[in-house]
Amino acid sequence: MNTRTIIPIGPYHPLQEEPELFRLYCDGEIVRDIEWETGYNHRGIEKINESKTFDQVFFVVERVCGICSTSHPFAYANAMEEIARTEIPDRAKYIRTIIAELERLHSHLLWVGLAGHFLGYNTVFMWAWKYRENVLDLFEKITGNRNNYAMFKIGGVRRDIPDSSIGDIRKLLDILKPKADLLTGAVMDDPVIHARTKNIGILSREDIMNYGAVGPTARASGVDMDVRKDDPYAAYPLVNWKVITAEEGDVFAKARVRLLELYESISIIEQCLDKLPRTKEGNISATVKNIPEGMGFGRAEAPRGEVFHFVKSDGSNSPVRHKIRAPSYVNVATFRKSCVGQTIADATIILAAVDPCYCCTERMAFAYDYYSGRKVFNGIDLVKLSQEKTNAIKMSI
Amino acid sequence: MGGINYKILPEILKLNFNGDIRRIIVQQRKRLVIHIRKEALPEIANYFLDELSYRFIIATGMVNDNGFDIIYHFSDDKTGYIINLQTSLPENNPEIESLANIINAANWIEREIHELFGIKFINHPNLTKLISEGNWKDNDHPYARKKRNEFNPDEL
Amino acid sequence: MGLGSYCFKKSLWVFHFGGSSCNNCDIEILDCLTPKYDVERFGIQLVGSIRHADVLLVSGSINRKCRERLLELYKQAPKPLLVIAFGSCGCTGGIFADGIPFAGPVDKIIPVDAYIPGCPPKPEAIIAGIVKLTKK
Repeated sequence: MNTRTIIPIGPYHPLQEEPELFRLYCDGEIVRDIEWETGYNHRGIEKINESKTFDQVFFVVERVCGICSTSHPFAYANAMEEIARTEIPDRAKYIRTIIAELERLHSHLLWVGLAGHFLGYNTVFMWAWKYRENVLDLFEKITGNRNNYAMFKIGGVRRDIPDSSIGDIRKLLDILKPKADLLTGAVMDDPVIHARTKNIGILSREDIMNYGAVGPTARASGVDMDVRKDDPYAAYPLVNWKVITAEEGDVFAKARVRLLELYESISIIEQCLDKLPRTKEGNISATVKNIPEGMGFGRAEAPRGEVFHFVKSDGSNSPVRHKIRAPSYVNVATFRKSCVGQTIADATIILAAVDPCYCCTERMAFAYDYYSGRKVFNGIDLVKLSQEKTNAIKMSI
Repeated sequence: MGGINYKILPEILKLNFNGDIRRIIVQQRKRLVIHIRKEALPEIANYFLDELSYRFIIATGMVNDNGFDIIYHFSDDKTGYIINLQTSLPENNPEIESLANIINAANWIEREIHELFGIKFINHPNLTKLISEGNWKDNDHPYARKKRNEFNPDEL
Repeated sequence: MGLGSYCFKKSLWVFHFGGSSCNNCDIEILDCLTPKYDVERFGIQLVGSIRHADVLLVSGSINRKCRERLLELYKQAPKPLLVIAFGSCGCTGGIFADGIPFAGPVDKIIPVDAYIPGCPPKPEAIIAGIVKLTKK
């Protein structure tokens, strides 16, 4: 007789910051089906924006998601500058790029920490978040806030990075480089992590195309896709860097892509810092008198993938329609493909590998029994299961 | 496969879908908006996804003077172009064929547009609630209001 | 203010409820656990079940769906319970107060003992808020 068990994930687990409701239907140890229930994070932002002026919208969209706090204003600014047909000054391009890449650094460090926790490596969690603090301190120094930087405006940026701050940014990068080496080594070389993450949660190229997945989730399956290269914006075409891809499509590949992107981000920031003093200090935005009628399609590469903003303007002061598509909206859907057929102990790490930003997407996670509909474990138990599996593997190696 | 030559894309589309294409607007550099008859949506979308290997980004529902507009956004990652298919639906019968059977990426957004605007997606595999359960009344479509700021939260 | 010299009357176990938020507040709460701020040295820890909690930390602007969950949680929690409304969204709803599904702020749903404003509140503010609360 098959005993069906249900594993709830979430909703209010301490390390799952957002409420997320998945129903995992399990047959013994194996996940058979998944259902989502969403709505817990829905805030009606697209409608709110219709009653704000174009400039006020920046402050709303940067709070769509705390971790991608730069990417949403970036995509929105790109969309608005399409409508206004504005070219922004070079210095603004470099500043935007520096902020966006610093955000990528802090977001990937955050992810490494969380992934470490789900696997039972709490030291990795503590280390990654400790070095992340350095990035946040730097943000506070140059923008005034650890999160929600409010740097973007139509036509450029609001605040300059004075040439005198460049030294501090370089100091931070010098601290971070050996730490990135440390974390990369800790993840890439550990045989237990190999055992836990290789061949787990595989997504093929066809899956990626079918679900429209983006970002490291797609790049880890061999799809060479990055908005910064495909549809260049800001200073990305002005510096040298490469897109990181992997072929296997499993959790390990996703981790590897994110860790190697840390180095590319550091390199991009350093090149921007080299070029920044050659631009005129203080020339950080172009004057935009009014926004004509039109449509703007702006996008940016957030740490999780492509953020897309569509804005329709009718010549008035507010958007007529503002559509926001966050990368997690398409990435989380791949969970159905990558999790079915896997064991429940792997469910948390497979989901974490997509780096879901629930506030961008707003989902909830629960797991139910396939037959009886009973809840068996909750989210914390799922994480514990994952950690226990790691311990079991450690014993056997 | 290299990217398509966008100078000749309008001619190719008119050749293949003559009559279904109403207008092609070059909104700005690398941004096209193609107005189509709603009946032609599945065929043209299939052409974009299969023949031209575009990626489906998302769809946007909007209110217009006579009903609704839906814009389907596709990305050509080889060239950075965003190609948008726009179609109109009448207010009294807002329905259109679902794309969820062709491409899974359309599944959730069609459910969301259905909840927010009341547009019906024919043959959608699972046109159930995505975000609205508990957030607003059944059969209410909060984004389908004509005037901006008309929404009164006390109504719910 | 020497935090090291404060003695908390008891070590606080905190249950965190993330309403519909942008997550920044939730991450700042986790930041408090990390080595730089390290509230665990005061005995403060996050717990997974409301039944073990002394403090209910509510962040996010609450939408209608979360409202039901929040009420249920409050009923399940053993009293006495301290409730903290966290962040601009928790205190007043922030910019999401105009949103369609908005059902908060927190003090409209459950009684609140302390407010920690900020968007997001810095970890120093969080620690200061908790210290103030324990001295009540």
